[in-house]
Amino acid sequence: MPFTEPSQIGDLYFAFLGILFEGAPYILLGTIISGFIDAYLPSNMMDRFLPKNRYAAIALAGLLGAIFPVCECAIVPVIRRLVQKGLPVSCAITYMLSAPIVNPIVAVSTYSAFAGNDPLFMTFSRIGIAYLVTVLVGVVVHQFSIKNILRDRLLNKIETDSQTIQSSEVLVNKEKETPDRLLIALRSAARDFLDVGMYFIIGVMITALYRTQINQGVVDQFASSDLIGIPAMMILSFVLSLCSTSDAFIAAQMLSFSSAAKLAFLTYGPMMDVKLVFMYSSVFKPRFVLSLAVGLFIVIGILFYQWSNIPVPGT
Amino acid sequence: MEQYSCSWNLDHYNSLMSQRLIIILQSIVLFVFGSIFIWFYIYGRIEKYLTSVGSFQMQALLAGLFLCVISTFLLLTSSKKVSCSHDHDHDHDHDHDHDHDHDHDHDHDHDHDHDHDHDHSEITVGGMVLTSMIVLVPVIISALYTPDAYSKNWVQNNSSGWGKGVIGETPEAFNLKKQNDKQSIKIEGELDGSKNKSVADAAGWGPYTIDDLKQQVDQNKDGEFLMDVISIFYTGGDEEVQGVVKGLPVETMGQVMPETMRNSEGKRIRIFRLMMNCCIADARPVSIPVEFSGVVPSYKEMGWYKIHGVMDYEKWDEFTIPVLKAQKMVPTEEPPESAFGQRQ
Repeated sequence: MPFTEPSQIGDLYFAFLGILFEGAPYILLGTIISGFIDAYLPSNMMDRFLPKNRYAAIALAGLLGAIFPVCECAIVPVIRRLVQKGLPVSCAITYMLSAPIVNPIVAVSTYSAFAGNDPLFMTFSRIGIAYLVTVLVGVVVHQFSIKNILRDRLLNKIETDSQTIQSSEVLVNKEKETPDRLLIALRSAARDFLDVGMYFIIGVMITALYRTQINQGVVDQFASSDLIGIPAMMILSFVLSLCSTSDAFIAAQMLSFSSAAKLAFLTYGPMMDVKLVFMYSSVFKPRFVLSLAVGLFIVIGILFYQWSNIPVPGT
Repeated sequence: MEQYSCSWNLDHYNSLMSQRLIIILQSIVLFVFGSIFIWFYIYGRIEKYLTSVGSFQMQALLAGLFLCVISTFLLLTSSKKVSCSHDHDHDHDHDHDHDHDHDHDHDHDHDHDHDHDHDHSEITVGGMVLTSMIVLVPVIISALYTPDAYSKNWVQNNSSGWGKGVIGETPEAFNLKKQNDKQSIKIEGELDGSKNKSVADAAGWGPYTIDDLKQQVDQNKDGEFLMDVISIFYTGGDEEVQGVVKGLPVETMGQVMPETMRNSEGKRIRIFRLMMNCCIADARPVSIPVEFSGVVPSYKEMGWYKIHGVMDYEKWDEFTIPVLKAQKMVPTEEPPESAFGQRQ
């Protein structure tokens, strides 16, 4: 039984726990996968499976979500571990940004949410533009040194592991001890869960604060034109921090806004929101996270502003 | 040449103890975290936070159980040393500094396991304590002090759409025509050409009728239709359904608030229910006006009531708004699932 009567501060606790109960299972799943990747996946295995041509690899990474659908909460610990295991950072970031959108679950939920309101156009526009944007980001990231992108702690781990692999590769005749991989996996998972979970909780607190303490009606004031509506909806998606599997149901209700503004909402949010800023910070340098947030905002905003010139049935 | 030192052993011991302490701390945090999930599930409180549609509630329970199992496993194995999964065999001669006065004059060639943390984590006990605090403090405070319900302030912050009617499609969960449509599709699929409509109409599966409504909506002993507020709200988006529902006796249940729009005579209040997609943070209050013939009876704001009345509709700008002409309002208990799920 609850111990308190409804109140303004109680609203905050209520919404906070709601997002926590919804998101934490996915983070746990992501960290367990990451733990098992750590224990069982040999280093550089991912790189071996990807095309040698880095641009082709980035393009392929943008489609991996169709085979390995992972939501935005679960993806962060997974890509952190994959980067550590040798997945090129450009491919990892492309996969990280695209997987929460370019996957069959989100396609179905987007289609359902817009049923009767040109669902095919909305679904394919969302997935198609998200894919283009994430591949573009991957290509841009490829031009930079990972030292400018990854946190020092993660860089050190990669360097240490790579040195260790080099030294171990020389020692082919040594008798090897079989490690307790399950224990390694679970210890890694626990560590990742708390590490990512800490950032998740900070993000959720801010989101809950917005959802409960601010008059939500202020958003409708920005629906008058796409020039204002598109950035407004992207900012809203950033603050609301919705799950990509359910955000279409929220967007579909906002008929004050154009389809382009709603698509911008559905594309930007799963790539960048309050909780993700904190979660990304467990992997990337703050300057990179900021650049990514601003860059995505500008690119998605411009793309969908142009998209708004396409006549859409039902709008 | 390899030389062992006592200080190395001491450092090694301290490092092991730190690692063990960190694992124990992690286990405690995971256990507390998981217990909160299980606690809310067992006591049915999870229904206030996550929609029953889909598997969100079960996912929360499983997460809680997994967290507790993992934490117990880690606690029981906290003293166990593990070697890395990737190859860390070191084969080199060591020159450990001496800090005691005897010689170890021998070469040393061995594989050894430094018992390092697997990913060479630089986490310290202090860092782990800080992480634990950031993770646990907000969760424990929220779990202890959450009222399991929103306040009037939240409803007011989310009521900006109450002056509007239905926009877009009616969610299937609240569509009173869904059964009728399915039957119509079936019939039309079995028949061909222009006969479809007339045959379907003749079979009673064409136009929406009172019989269709009766198939989907239960009636109480007084013959009133037991309709939820959200389904009533969405009838405003379908003229065919309105034609059937208008004038029917209805019993509905929800929370009530004062009416702030089009209420110059003061005879109206609002009744609302929450509709959520996944979790309570994405919920919104869906409401309809309730009009009394005389003075509004005294009521508690945000209280739960059953309202008996007759359905009517009004035009508010371009929207059709359902209005319940109330005959009786009775206080009632809050249902276990106070918010409806939208997804199906």
